[in-house]
Amino acid sequence: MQTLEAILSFLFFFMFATYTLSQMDYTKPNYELYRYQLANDIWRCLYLTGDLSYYPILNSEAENKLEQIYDGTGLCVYLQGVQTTIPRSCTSKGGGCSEDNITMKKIWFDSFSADVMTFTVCTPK
Amino acid sequence: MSVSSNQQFNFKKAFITYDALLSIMPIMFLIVFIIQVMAYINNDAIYTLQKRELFNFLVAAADYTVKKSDAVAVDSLGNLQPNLIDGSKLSSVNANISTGVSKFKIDISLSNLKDEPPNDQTCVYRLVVNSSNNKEIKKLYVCGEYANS
Repeated sequence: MQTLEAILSFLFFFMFATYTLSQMDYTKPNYELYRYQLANDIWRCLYLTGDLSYYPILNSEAENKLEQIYDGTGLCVYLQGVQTTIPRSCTSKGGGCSEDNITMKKIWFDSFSADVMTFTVCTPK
Repeated sequence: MSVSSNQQFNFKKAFITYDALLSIMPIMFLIVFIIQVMAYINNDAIYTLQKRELFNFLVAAADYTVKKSDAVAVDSLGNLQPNLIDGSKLSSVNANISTGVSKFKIDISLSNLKDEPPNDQTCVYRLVVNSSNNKEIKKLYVCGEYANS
């Protein structure tokens, strides 16, 4: 009878331990790195298409691209100090930044000086 | 009621047997139930880990494609231009990765920004600029699944 109790206790313990371990965070996908890569992609794409050439002034084409990126991916982009770069759809649809955002700082060189661009990407809620 | 001595019904033995039967049955049910729950939890854990492994692989493959693969454009000084992708070279990148990692089947493709994933596999996307199409921003989808599934 004691052997039986021991077996039952072991089975319960094993079940509990397996369940607890499987619920821990490290077993689930971690999206942090991927989100950083996406945020950097947006910056690279704007850079490659020449839309950041006149930063901190952005032309309407750059705004349209940010709007398209938001429509296609749900990623809202905010460039600090540039009021007009908040995509209209981000704010009108109740999007916008929550705590769940990624902020990157890019050092921006021109002919005369270096400037730091603060670049925030908000992921969909 | 009279019972002969050699056919006498042994109530004590019968009760013990019956009692043992009733005790063992719930224990057996309990053991079977626990084993079934354990099998379910185990399968769930394996599924979660496989999902994570596949996702990590797709993210790594997408990052390689965007930054270091043959499809990345090169500037006049010979430097790689991350995120500037030549869409016509993606099939060779796909073949290279598939040859190197036989555990997964992957499919790399360029799509417009509003397009949905090209198939029902697990997919990740990256934002790239298509070097051969008027520098248009596109989605680079990297989709995949386990090769044996």
